[in-house]
Amino acid sequence: MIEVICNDRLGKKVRVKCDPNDTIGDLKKLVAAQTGTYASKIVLKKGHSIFKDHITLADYEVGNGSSIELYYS
Amino acid sequence: MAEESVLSIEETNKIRISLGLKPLKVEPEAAPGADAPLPDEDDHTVEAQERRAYENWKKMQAEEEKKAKRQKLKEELAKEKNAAKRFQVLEGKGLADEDDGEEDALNWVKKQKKRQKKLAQKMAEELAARDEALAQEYTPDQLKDLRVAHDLQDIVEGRDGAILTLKDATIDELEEEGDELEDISLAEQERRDERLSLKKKKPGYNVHEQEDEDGKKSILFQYDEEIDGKKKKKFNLGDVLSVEEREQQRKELGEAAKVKIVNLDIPKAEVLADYIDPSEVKIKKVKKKKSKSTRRKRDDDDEGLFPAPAPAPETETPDADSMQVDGAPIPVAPRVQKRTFQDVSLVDDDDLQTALAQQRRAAVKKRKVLKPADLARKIREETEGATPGAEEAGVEEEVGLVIDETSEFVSRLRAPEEPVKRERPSVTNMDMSPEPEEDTEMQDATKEDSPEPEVQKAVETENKGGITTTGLEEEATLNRGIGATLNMLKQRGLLDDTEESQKANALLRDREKFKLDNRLRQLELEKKAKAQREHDRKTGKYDRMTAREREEQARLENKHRDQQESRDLAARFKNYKPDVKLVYKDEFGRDLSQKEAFKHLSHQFHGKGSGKAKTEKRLKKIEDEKKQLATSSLTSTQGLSTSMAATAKKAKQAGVRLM
Repeated sequence: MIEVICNDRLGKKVRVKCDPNDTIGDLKKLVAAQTGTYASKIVLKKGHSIFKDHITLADYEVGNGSSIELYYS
Repeated sequence: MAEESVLSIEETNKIRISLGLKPLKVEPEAAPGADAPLPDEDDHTVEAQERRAYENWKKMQAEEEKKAKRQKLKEELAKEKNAAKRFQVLEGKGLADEDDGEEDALNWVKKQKKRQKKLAQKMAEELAARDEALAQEYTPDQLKDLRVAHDLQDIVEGRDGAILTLKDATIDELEEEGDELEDISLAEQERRDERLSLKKKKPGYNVHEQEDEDGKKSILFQYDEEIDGKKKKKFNLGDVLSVEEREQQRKELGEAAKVKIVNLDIPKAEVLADYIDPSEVKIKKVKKKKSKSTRRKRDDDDEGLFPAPAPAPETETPDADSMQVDGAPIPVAPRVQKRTFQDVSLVDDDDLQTALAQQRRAAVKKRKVLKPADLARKIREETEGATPGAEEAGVEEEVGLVIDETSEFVSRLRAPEEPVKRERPSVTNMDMSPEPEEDTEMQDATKEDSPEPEVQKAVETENKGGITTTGLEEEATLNRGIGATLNMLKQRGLLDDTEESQKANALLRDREKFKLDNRLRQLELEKKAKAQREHDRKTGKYDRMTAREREEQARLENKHRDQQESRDLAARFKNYKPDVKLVYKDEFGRDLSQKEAFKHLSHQFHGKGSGKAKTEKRLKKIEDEKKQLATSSLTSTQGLSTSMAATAKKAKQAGVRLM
């Protein structure tokens, strides 16, 4: 289990507990459940690269405590 | 900074389950920092994987180390072994070692005897073998089939026999031909002879040369050697008779020759006869050519049964007039008639008639290659040249294209206009031929310039020439005056004389007349005014007046006159019908249609004409039109001649030209 910090810098900062084998899509659902938004409206970014839904966190090398930028489309 | 919202694992798991995800593993917090790695292989967390990877790496490292160690050990071992070998003492006797004394001088001598015995034995064996080999007989049979590279004759005739040796040859030659024997001296001689003959440069053709024993000689035999290679005289040792045998043979032959008896009686001289003995003469028989039977084979059994009487007296030639044939079929028995036309198989009378008509038509068509224009010219020449009687005869003799009244009539079937046409000249050329009804002014105008009699004559000739004795209207030409020209133009349909155009013409005439009238009246008035002024001056009307009064008077009069004039004019303009027409002409003087005119104006306005291609197209069109105008009405290449077609089109008459 790892904990990922998602921050939209507009007032929402979420620590999400998840598995490294979860896909970004799963993470989005978790974030959506935790923040009360639609998962389809969430865009996760790190730097300039937008994370794609079907790729796992481990593949993006998202580890314990790493933070991801949270945007809304 | 906003509060970080965190959910506990349980809550997260709840959410995950509701989303259909695998719940997170609850890690026991009891063993934080414990190094004991989880042994289960099912753990796929990153940490577990890393751990496993590390273990693997370590294991591998250890193995490699072990291997290296073993290798080192091996090498050391090998080194030790080598060193041991190097320092091993050689076995066996050394040079300095004490001998046992077995190779004593005495011993050696004793042994020597034995050795010699052995050697002698060996030699004896060898000699025996050689003797044995020698003992085998060397017969000519063993030399059989060996080839000798010389003629037998040469060898026999040689001074002291021949020493045959194996011929020197390359490997190729050997493979091809096998071993050959030759005598060196003989071979040398042959080569010398050859060289000498080459030096002599004999011509290829020798008159005195003998022919082959067969009596024939190959053509250009002198090149045979070059083409086929040298023919070498060869013989095989076994094949040829031995010398003794040959000698024997020769002797026998000589005896046989001697036995032959020769008759010495002189034969009687035969007297040569002047003539060849008839028995010797061979007469070449000329084969008679089988003359083909001129009789036509009869293909019908029918005919055989009823032998036809001699070809029925034909009352008709196939050239006879078809009309006649159609009208009165010949009273000859139809069957006989049938036979006379071999190429057409006919069933009954109607078929026959149609076939006949077709044939005739074809014949006539063939003859009608002459151009109508040429024909017309010919006819005209004839009419000018010959007397009427002779001309008629000529016409009768004429067999080619017959143009008589009927055919001409048919060809001119569109003729309802024609009488009008013939009258035409007098109407349209009224300025040339004055008539009582015409306006006086016009008459005046024409009278001033009247080469009248000539013109009239021309018109008359034109009219007269309109119909020649052949019934063919002559082609109008331009060389006889305006009337003729007009006539020609009309004939070709270049001048339209429909009602509308006539009306237009009348209008034009009216207008012209009106203008002329006006001018004349003006002139008259001016003249009148002048006369009045003269009169006044003469009567001295102005003398009594001062200059001013005079001027005043003149002005008044002028005014009065103007008024009068304008009133007059107004009265006359009452029946003036202006005919307004916008006509545009191009640079060639052609009338432009509305469209074309617009285009022209547009081009002018924009200062930009059409391109090269379009201009060319237009010029071509104009040229074509000109050409069409120039074509004669009689020269027609296909169907209706173009000008006639144009006429018919203008007159809105459909028609076919039958010629």
